[in-house]
Amino acid sequence: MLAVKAGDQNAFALLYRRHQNTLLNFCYQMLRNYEDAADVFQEAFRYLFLHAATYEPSAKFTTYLFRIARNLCIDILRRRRRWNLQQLDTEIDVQDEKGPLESRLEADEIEAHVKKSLEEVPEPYREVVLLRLVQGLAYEDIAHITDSPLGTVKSRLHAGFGFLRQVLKRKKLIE
Amino acid sequence: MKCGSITNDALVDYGERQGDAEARKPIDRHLNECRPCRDRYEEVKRIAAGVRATLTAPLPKALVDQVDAAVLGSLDKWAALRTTAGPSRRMWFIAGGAGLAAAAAIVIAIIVALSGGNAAKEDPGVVNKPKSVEPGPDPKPEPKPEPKPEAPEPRPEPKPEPPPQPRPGPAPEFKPKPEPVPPLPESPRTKAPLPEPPPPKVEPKPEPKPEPRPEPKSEPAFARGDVNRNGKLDRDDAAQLDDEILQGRTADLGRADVTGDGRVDCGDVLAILQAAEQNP
Repeated sequence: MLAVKAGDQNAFALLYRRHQNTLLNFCYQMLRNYEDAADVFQEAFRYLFLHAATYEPSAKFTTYLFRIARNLCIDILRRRRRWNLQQLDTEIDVQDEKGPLESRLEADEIEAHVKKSLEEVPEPYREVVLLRLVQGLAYEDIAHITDSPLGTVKSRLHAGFGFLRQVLKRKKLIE
Repeated sequence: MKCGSITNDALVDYGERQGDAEARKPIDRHLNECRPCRDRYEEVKRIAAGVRATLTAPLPKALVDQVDAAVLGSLDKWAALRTTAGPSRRMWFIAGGAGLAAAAAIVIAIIVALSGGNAAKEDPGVVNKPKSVEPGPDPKPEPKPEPKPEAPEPRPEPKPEPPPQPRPGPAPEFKPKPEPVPPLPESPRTKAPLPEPPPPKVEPKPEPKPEPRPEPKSEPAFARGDVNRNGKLDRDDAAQLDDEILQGRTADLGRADVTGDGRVDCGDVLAILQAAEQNP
């Protein structure tokens, strides 16, 4: 990131490639809509590039990047709530998702169904569960990204996994 | 170590071999002895693997191409913005804010001129609204689009104000009216309004009656799931119930059993959250 700060576009492209998959999947899991996820993803990297000069390496770069993306996701979720668009987006997602999901069904049935079950987990819990499993993020990083106390992060993580277990139990995927 | 003291996040850490070996030992020992916890550990481990798989899943090629073109294809354009447009964008933002403030001041002046002072009580709220929304998101790429949709909001608010304001104006004039009431029986009006005096005496009696009626209606508002008993079913109830469950204090929370399965657990928290979202 320091190289990007100095104006190195190749370094930016390297960072982009390294975090592309995880960040875009995270945005999709937060928003359940590929178009919105792509918008947030682009805006996050645009912000990163334009404000590289103000970057201070006080925290991990991953923390910084996910904090930007997470705040942009929250903006969109707030806007959806304001305009009551949650239902509409979910319906669109189901159609968008058919192709890639079918092609990605894995041997382990639970793992394949976790993706679908995640959308039933309320947003504050879902984001913590997702962030916890992003490579290299510690509880302190998640607390920084979500602007929450450490205890809240841990309790939401516990409850988030509890929600997922409930959903999978309801679908009779676990006993 | 008791089953309730092993949280799901601790099991995720345990599965990833995180934390120091000393902290892992009691969990290790407990899992060897307790079959239900071992099953839960296996479930959490598989769920964690599933979540991790969703984060590393291959994305649709069309989507990847789209974002590649939008990000990597725009680097030169952004580089030009970074060197030239940085400060000027800030200046535009400041200028926009000043313009909004000036517009608000004009609106306030008009309202004050029309109504004579009462509007000033509500004006600070109008000015504060756009401010309170802006600091929410940390990143600054948003501020431009946000103030625009919210700028029109303050305008419709002052419009309905003028009609109610003239009402409080004449209100003090009505107060002296009760004073002339005593002379009524003495004045020549007594002949004509003879039937009138009794009705005013009757009127105050029915007034207090309707007041106690709504009160009993508000009592049953402590509905099932209203954990904090504030009369609303909202996220605070879910958060409080979540804390109670984590601390094992569910014995006296019968009203929180929203799902009706005889237990107070995460399912009830989820049901409360869903109910709160459906009825915001």
